[in-house]
Amino acid sequence: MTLYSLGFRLLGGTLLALAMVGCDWHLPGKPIKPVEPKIGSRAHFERVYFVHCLGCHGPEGRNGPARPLSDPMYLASIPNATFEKVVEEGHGVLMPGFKKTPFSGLTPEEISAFTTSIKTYWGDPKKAGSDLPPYAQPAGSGNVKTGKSTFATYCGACHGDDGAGKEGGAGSVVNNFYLELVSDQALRSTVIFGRTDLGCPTYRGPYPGMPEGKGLSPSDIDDVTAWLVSNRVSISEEAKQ
Amino acid sequence: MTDSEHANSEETSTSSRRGFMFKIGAGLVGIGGLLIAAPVLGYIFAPAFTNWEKRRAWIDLGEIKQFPVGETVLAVYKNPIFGPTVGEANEIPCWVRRTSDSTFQIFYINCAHLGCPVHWFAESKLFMCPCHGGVYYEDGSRASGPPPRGLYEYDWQVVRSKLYVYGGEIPNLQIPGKTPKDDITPLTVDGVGYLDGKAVKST
Amino acid sequence: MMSSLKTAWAWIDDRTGVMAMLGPPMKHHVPRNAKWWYVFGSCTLLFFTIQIVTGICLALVYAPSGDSAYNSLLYLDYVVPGGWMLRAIHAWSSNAMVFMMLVHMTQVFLHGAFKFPREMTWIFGVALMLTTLALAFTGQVMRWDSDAYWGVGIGASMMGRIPYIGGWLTHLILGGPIIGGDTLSRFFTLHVFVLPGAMIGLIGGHLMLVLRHGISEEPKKGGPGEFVDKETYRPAYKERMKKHGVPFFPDAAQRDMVFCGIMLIVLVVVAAWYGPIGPSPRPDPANILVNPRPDFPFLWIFAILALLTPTIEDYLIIVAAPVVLMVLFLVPFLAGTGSRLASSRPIASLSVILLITGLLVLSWLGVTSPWSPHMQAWTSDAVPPVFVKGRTPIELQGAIVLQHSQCRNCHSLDGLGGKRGPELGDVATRLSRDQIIRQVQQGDGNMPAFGKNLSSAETDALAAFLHSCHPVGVRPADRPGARLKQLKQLDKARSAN
Repeated sequence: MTLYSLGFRLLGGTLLALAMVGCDWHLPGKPIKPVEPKIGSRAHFERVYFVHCLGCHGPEGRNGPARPLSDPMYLASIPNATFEKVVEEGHGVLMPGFKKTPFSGLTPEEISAFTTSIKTYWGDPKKAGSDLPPYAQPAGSGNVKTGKSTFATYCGACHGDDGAGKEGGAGSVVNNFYLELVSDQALRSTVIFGRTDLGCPTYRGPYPGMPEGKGLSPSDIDDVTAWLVSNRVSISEEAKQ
Repeated sequence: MTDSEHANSEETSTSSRRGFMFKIGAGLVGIGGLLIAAPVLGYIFAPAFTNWEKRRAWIDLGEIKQFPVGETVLAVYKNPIFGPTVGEANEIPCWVRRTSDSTFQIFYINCAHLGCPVHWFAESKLFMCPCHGGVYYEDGSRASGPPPRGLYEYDWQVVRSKLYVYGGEIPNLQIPGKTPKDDITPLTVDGVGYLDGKAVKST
Repeated sequence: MMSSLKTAWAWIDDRTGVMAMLGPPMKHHVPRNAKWWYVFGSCTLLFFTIQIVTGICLALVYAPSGDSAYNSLLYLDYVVPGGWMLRAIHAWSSNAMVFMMLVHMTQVFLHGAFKFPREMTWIFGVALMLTTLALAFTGQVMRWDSDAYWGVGIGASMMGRIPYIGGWLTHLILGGPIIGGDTLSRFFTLHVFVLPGAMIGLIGGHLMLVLRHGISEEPKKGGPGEFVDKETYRPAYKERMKKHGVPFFPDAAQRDMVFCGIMLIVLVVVAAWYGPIGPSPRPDPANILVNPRPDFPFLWIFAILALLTPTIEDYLIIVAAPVVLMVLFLVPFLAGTGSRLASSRPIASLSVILLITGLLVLSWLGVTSPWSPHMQAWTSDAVPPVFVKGRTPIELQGAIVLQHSQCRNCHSLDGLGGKRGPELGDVATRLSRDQIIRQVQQGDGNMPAFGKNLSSAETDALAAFLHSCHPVGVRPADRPGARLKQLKQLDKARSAN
């Protein structure tokens, strides 16, 4: 190769490079205009979940310390208005609200899009089944006494007959500090939907030591919830004693 | 007088004239230079010598009922001192904490360490700074990290159930936010001057 | 044809005297052994030239005004053909210029080239370094994004620490009592008129001094110019150049050209591959969900400011910085003569090693910035499932308290989360349950006290969860000092054997 032909090749290469730059070819460094995900799209749903919910409700909506959200039964049961209110204003002691503030949070449109899309993407009416017990405890329902014995029958194998936990079992559910941190609704939801990701069954079972298909009836659920709630000693009552 | 002597004397007279001319020239250039330098330097250094205090002002943050007692919320106000090209940079945020029915604490957004924007967390009741990790308690006192002091606070007053903040400056250790009471211009509402929420005689 | 061109050139040269002017500097003799070590200065100059060219191009579109600078940047990035490429070249060439300048300075320092009679060349060089850094800083402000806004704020806060004149200086720099459009205009004037002008003047002086004193030989053991003696150095150097020197053009310049050519190609490839730097979010101070970071040349300062204790910080900013600069300027007077060999100058060589290591480590820390809380970690960094499985109800509530109280903003679980505080995935092996409660309630060192903000139930749940955080098979610490005692017994048993 003569020096001249080498020179021509180099010149050609440089011109080609210049042309690429000039024509704005899609070089890897070319900035791409960021596109805000459309409200209601899967990308928007995932962003909302990743930024606001993932910390407690777990990756993919399960295996977090708080209630799993990718639970078709739960999503089929919770009324939309309740869901939106919880996301917006928070709930109980530890669920913060994500209302819009000047610098963060979610607008009402974003919240309602989120509660709709979570049901689209993670819900599954077939898996949820029909005849779900009511989400909220019916007012004035629940018998504490029957609740106690129902709990011992169904839940005693793991949590102990008195609910105070068992060696090698699942721990206490009557610990007063625990009851102070969770709301009545959270207790009821756990009775109904369990924590299937952590091995706690739904109200349909199967409960350990019980035959397959034996589950809690709606009134059983009311009773157990009422009993769990009755174990809570409020701080003022504690002070009185 | 020979030719050469004649030339010499002529040279001396021109050179003495030249010396005189040189002095005049240097003097004129010097005076002219000073005349130019005064406005140029004044122009460059003006921001350092301007009495900005005079142009600071009370800014309406709105009805006090929008600030719940015991909560800390972000409020944004338009800075009163700005030029024509300020753009979005005069949207100044501040943290408003209502401590009781009638008392407030208004914190500058700027961390006392190096001025980054601090972020309020209502759950843990802490301000955190994203730059070097300064942390403050809800009353603005320093909790941990590199800041040498607590958060800077604004002067504020409540007049006719509206909250007013004395804005217009970025704080630092030499300009620590609050202004000596004598230097504050009273807020004028319907021709009446107010300081500390009380009507004062306008001077 | 060729001959008529030659005649024309001869006429031009005769009437302008261009060859008579450029000839001597081009043909001046340089040492025969001035080889690859000597290319960095030229390369720095090359990057500066690129900055001028691309800077002028960017000024065709960029609007130096607070209300439209950011939009003109977006316009450059997405609309103007090749605009993003020009921005990329300008940004990367700026980094490259700072880098090449530091390499050049290190080479000059290690070869002792600043010694007699080249003291002024070094001083011009230090002034050039300061101007280059000032250009880099003001250049970052030109982006007028959130990094620029808060970066200027940090600069102003640092000025505000100077006693008496701090407030005055802040107002001078900002062009007012607060960051606004006038601030951008001030920095624009510096970046585009004042500093490049100063730079060109200083480069002229630097080059004139290089021509006046000649390029120093690479010091070799027993070679010429190893020792600098004020009496003999100059005539001996002149003699050596006359006898053994080679003309700068083309003998030395060819290496410069090869190196500069390679660097140019690398620059364009890097710019095309990585694209422009920034802009970060809009310069709207009300958008406080930002993470202000300085550009690469200043990351080490960012790191120092995070790592110092508040007690010595003021002294560092106000006293140490000017002292270090003074020392840099005075280097040729502190060691103006003597051996130029790096191997015979242990203090010089060690300080270079220390400085470079320090800069690299601090810059790396600046990139990772482990001291910064992650503002969204509490809602967006998961509790890894391994810390959820098999936990009791109260422990699960404790994990939620950990998230809810923003502990994760500073603490990580299995490496996920903030890095300001210690990792909590194995905290139970270090602290007993009581110690955990004490630490949470009272805080310590760099941790705020949470006592007032957590209820008994929250504290208890949190302690229960944290006490369950220990690797499988490792027993949690049960009382303070328990493990220490075991270790001491082990030690005793060992020493007895």
